[in-house]
Amino acid sequence: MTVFGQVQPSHPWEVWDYKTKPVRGGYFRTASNVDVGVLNPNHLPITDYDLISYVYERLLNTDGSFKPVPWLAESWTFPDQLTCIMKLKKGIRFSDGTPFNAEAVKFVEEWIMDPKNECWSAAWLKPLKSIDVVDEYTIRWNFKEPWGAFLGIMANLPGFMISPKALREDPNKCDGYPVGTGPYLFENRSPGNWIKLKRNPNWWFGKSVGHPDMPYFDGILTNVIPDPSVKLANLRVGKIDSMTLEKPQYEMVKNDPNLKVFLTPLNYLRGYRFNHSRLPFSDIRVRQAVAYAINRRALIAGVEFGLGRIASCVYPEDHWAHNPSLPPWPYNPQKARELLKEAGYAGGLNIVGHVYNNPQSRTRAEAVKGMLAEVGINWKMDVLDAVTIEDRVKNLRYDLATGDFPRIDDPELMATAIFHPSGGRNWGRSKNEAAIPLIEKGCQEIDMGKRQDIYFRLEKALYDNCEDIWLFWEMSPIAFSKNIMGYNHDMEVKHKRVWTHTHPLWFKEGRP
Amino acid sequence: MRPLIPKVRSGSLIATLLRQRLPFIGILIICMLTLMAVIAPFISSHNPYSQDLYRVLEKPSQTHWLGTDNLGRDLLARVIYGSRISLYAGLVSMAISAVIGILVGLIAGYCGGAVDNILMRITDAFMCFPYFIFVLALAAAIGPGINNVIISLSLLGWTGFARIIRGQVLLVREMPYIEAARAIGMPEYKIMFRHILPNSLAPVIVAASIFIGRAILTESGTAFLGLGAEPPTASWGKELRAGFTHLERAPLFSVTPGFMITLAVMAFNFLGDGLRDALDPRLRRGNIACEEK
Repeated sequence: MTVFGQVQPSHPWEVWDYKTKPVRGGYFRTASNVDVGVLNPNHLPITDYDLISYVYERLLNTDGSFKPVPWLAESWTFPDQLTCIMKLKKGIRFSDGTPFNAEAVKFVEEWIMDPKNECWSAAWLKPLKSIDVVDEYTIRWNFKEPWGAFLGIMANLPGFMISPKALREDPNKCDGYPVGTGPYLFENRSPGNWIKLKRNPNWWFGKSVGHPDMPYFDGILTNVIPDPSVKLANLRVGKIDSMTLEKPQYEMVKNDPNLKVFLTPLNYLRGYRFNHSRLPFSDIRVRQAVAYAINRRALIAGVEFGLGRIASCVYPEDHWAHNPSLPPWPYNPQKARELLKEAGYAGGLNIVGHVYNNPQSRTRAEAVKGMLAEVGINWKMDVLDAVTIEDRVKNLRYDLATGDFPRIDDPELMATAIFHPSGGRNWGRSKNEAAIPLIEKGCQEIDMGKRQDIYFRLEKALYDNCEDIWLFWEMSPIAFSKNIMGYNHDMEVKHKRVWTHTHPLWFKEGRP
Repeated sequence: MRPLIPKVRSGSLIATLLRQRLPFIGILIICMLTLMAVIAPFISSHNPYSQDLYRVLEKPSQTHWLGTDNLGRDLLARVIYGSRISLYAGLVSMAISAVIGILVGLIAGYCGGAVDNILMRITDAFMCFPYFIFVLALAAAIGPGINNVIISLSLLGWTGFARIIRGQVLLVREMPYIEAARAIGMPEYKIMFRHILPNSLAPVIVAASIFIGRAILTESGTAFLGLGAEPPTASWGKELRAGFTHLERAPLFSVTPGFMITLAVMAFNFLGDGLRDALDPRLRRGNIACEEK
């Protein structure tokens, strides 16, 4: 095995032991269901974070267990509970030539926090008091209160570094014409049809690790193709090079000799939420009955085509905050009936709720409805649009309702949002006395080891109280055409985002 | 004196219909569909609601003649039960629409003047809206459920009936026998309902039969887009949508309900055409219906 340009790895993902030498060239063509939307991660609507992170990079990245790792920021220390000293990488420039330094970070974060810029991500920075520039590449963050999720947040949306020059000149232009430090630059777009990025010849990362050819593609062309079957047809005839498959499509193409198909675990929870504020689900026995009545294995096999990992609690099994000692809830309809009888619902139970109006969510809910009917629970499940759902959630007009949670990065966001009475998705539906102090502690703890312990205990508290129905953690099938090289699936699963960013793909002979 | 528009004698009408090929086929299909809907529990060997998640999207077999759907339910049973929803939606919304439309048209046509003007402008206003889009919006606004779809279908569907009836009433009310009825002091409502209405009904029957076909299609359309009958109720439009995702793996899943929708709509249109030909005095003699196409 030949090793090219090896530098002493300081991180486990810093290995590039390719069997064939990467070659430059070609536009990588992919497809998306919807237009990417606004190209400033702090403004809405934005639909494709993968595309955004080709252009913008975050201060921190995340590793295989979603722990923050250095990216644009090199290292950090916490001298006390309310301060973080962060050292930035040197010699990085935005694509418009502006240097990336402490001033730039300060400008971007303050721009996000300024209410007149209407950034939806500003709420994430609430605990931030002020930012001091210590020297050109050192920055001091001052917090209002101890901020456990700080690093996680900097590895998330507010961590995206936008050129201060571009923001200063015309922030509105930034919404359509992004200027970042990432491997690709914005080239052109036809809103609703396609968006084209071109290679950033000055990308700092490739040069810093001795692979100046990175990224290898000349550019990336993302077509908007709403229909999944049309997308697949395009992939099959070679009009696009890669796509995220729909679950039913996986079975059809997994043995296709012209494609490489992989299953990627996602940090996405699928489940249903109880309304604890009223009967019947203020009674733990009824909650347990529902949990026992659902056959998760069959659900994944039938509705998800085997693509899903049975969930035992909220954080995915490969997340650092997940407590591995919790077994998934067993399927036991007999037990469910007994519990219902004990709770006084021997003659049957009528509950109401809602799910989103898309085929996948509808089918899943229909299957669960059938399972609940088996034990005598009649779930009147309305299939609704997002606005109506928002209204019902706010006014607690449901018993059992859709409860997915996408993009679980730092555990604090989800814990507060769903399980804390002050959370943006709670509205008084759940008030777990054992969990609330843990959530608050998790917000404030900086030490990673102690944080992990807190979230393990939080998961246990939620589990013991049968807080919600956790069905499965998502898996997503992805397909590449055969001449896409450099995709190492095992490593992608092991190191996730940081691997994807450090291991760009290439075309076999430098052309599609 | 003989009225200009002949009073329908049901015996001769059916005989006329059965003599023509397409209406005959239409009637046959409608009878079969109705029978299927009525005796659904007796002819389907499977429960349309019992799911088996380990056997989804199976190919046709001895146990499942058309295979299974995306939750492992018997597709044939689902399609058979689906006919209930479609026929129910078609017939009920036609009935409601016809009642509203006939009342409005009758009053407008008979009273004339300002009343006519106001009622017809309201009708025009309703007709301005694109039918399907308004049904969708309305069904979404008043909430899911087959009855709400029927309500929205009827709230918009009556305009056609009103127009047709009004036109007929304008014709009929000038007839000498209406004048005679008025002369002997018959109350207005009696003239309207006893004399004008029965003599204006013929074209409504045609419109009604075509309306049913259109309503079935619209109901399927709304179900396809996620409104309409709530799960797990079987409905053709819903099955079509669910199967659409799996077109490559289980083609029958969407083709069968699609075929049933086509069949039902076609049958009601054949019947409508036949009725029109049979009731139109100018086409009474001979079999012009087929030549006309």
